[in-house]
Amino acid sequence: MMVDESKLRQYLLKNLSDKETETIDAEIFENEELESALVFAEEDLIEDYIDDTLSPAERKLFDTNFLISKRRRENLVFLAQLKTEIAGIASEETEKPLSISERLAKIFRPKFPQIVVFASVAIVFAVFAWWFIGSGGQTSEIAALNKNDLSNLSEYQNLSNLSLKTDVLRSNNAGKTLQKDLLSEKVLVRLDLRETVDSIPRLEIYRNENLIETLKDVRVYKTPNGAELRLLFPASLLEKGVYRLEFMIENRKTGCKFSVQ
Amino acid sequence: MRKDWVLTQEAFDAFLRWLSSDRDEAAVKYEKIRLKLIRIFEFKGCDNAEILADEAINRVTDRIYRAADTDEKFPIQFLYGVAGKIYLEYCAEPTVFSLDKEIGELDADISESSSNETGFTNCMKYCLSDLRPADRDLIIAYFKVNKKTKLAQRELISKNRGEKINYLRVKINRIRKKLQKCQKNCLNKKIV
Repeated sequence: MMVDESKLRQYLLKNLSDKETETIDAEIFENEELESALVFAEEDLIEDYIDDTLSPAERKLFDTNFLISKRRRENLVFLAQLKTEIAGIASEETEKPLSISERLAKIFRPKFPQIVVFASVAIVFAVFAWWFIGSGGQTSEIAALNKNDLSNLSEYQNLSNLSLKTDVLRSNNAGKTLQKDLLSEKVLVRLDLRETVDSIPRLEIYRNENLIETLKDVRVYKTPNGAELRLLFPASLLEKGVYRLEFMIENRKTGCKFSVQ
Repeated sequence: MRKDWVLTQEAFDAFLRWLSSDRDEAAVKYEKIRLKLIRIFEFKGCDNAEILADEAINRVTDRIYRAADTDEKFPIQFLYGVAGKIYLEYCAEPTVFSLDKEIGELDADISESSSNETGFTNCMKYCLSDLRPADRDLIIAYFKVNKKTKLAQRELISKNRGEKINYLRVKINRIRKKLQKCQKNCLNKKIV
């Protein structure tokens, strides 16, 4: 049995009789398609609410009977934000905005043409200065440390280090462990990639499943076995927890785990 | 269910036997039933749907285990009935089924992050730019439609891509979940 879409909306809005509701509950157990249809109906209701295209009666039911779980409230806030962002992108595409000098020219040209030139130069200078001063601070400590060439390992022999191999990331194994209290100021993590790779375009570092850092164009070092990744971590950033390094090699997700205790 | 009752291996084995005499098949059925129960509680707007699903299974397990030495039979509909009863109890007193304080505090942190509009917008920009270009283009095309004609416009998108509308929706749903996960990570860690 396939339940029609309007009935599914009423089910989600709790606007059906007990008997009809029980029928749909039981049907969910048996019918995979119905479950997907309900997911879509839920998304449609949220979007219609944001677009203000629900009927007054539906809107009232939405407020009182639908928007009662945290998951739905989060989905609503997220979708509203996403749509706002996309509307902004769409309007940028259709109405190409005026450049700063064009805007200034529009404001000042009739009365003070020389101000336009002066203000444009000043703004360009200020933006450049802001970028120049600010860019140093925006580079993370981990990214800055790993800009250095780590080819000569003897330079790092006094640091705490960890040698790892790429592993199945789904595994529950938290990998090798570092003792927080015994770490040197910097820690060298070496990861045997077990294959030849030139570089890693993007590497994500997670702590306890939360993304804490994204590194781009990470250098890879040749070894007799293929290649290895060398990463320096400031010990101050290695809080206790399970760490996961994740990246793609030839469209395949791989990486490793280690923990700090 | 008796208040002092705890799920034992013996009782759980009885529940699995009720699902199927073949243990592997029973394990698969158990997972499927649990997921279905979670979905039902979610569709009914319950927070903590997993806790409610486990509670339903525990109660049915208890009942089946106690009747193990009798001829009493329980059809699968018995499970729906118990789930319905738990839902009514939840509606009457949702806090009984709430998670512990730690989770509550986590929620508070997330909503605090969410209330930071600048952070939210910056994270959204970051996460959109972090998508694969094809996924980014698709989700923008899907949501930039006019609200009055969105259904027809989305039908057209799926037609132009040579896909059925439901396939397109599944794809959008996946991209959206990925974005939402990225957004949460971003807000919690203040990446941008």
